[in-house]
Amino acid sequence: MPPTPQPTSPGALGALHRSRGEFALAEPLLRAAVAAAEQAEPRDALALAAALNSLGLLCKDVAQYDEARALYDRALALLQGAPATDPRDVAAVYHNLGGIEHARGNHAEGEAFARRGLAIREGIGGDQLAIAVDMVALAALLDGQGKDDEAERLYVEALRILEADAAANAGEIAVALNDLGALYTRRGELERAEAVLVRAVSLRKQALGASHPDVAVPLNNLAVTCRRRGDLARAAALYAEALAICERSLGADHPRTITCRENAARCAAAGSDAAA
Amino acid sequence: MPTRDEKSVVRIDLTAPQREQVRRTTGREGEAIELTAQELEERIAPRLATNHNETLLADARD
Repeated sequence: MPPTPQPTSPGALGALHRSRGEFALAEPLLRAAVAAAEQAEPRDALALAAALNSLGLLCKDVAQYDEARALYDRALALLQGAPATDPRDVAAVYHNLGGIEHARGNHAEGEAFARRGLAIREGIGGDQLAIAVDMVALAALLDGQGKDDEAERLYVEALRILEADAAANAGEIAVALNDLGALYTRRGELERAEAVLVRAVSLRKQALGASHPDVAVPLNNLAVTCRRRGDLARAAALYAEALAICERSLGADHPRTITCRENAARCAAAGSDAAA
Repeated sequence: MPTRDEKSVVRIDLTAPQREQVRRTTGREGEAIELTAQELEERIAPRLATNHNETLLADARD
């Protein structure tokens, strides 16, 4: 069996830690990669843009949104000024700019970025997986504005593409299912939502492990759905699981942790009201 | 979605010093590295990664 290459550069190792949710380990490595790219002689604009983009992803993970936005803006300027830029990289930065605005709740601004990235991808053609991932990201921004019809259409179309190779695309399918389930929950379609979110949780745990911070998102959303269906005991257990993951991996002050904690408190209060 | 060409396997035979370096670094023996064309591109010219826009519901009492 030939050996599998392991990452050795700070940037690659930082990206590996980030993918595992080990953000404290990833941060110094990704910052070192940016510093090295900035000091390289001659400067390689594309390598620097890649390092900035990778650090931007981490900054979003740890809710340093202003810094992430500045890193992406800088990466985009570098890419647009370099003669050999691959348009797929420009599309990726637009996708990520949309992601930052999604996290900040600026959905309309994020929509413009996401549409631009998707248009670039569709103009290149061929990479259906990347197009599907962009569709999901755009749909989440539309969902945030109540543009349900287009959001649902994009989720369903993206899932059709991704399910063609369900094993290879399990991680992306989990994201699409989480977001589609959240849309169903918001619309009060709770039975459909529960089925979709249960699968999202399962896929996430299989792919990332039960304690990865990204597992907390569909867990929280499933808990919301259960609470609205009146299953307070199940909701409380799911909230407890999501909150423990968030507090351990993201800290007490991360926006995701705060949302989970507030949801859990509302659920507990609803239980007290019901018992009274 | 990878095309058929991107799924075809590229075999890179290692030189003797490279095999020794792999053995010292990983403790594993190997004469070659095999990657699909897509995996090879991801290693020699990786594309920029993207994040996920995951909806996190905030529950409101109803």
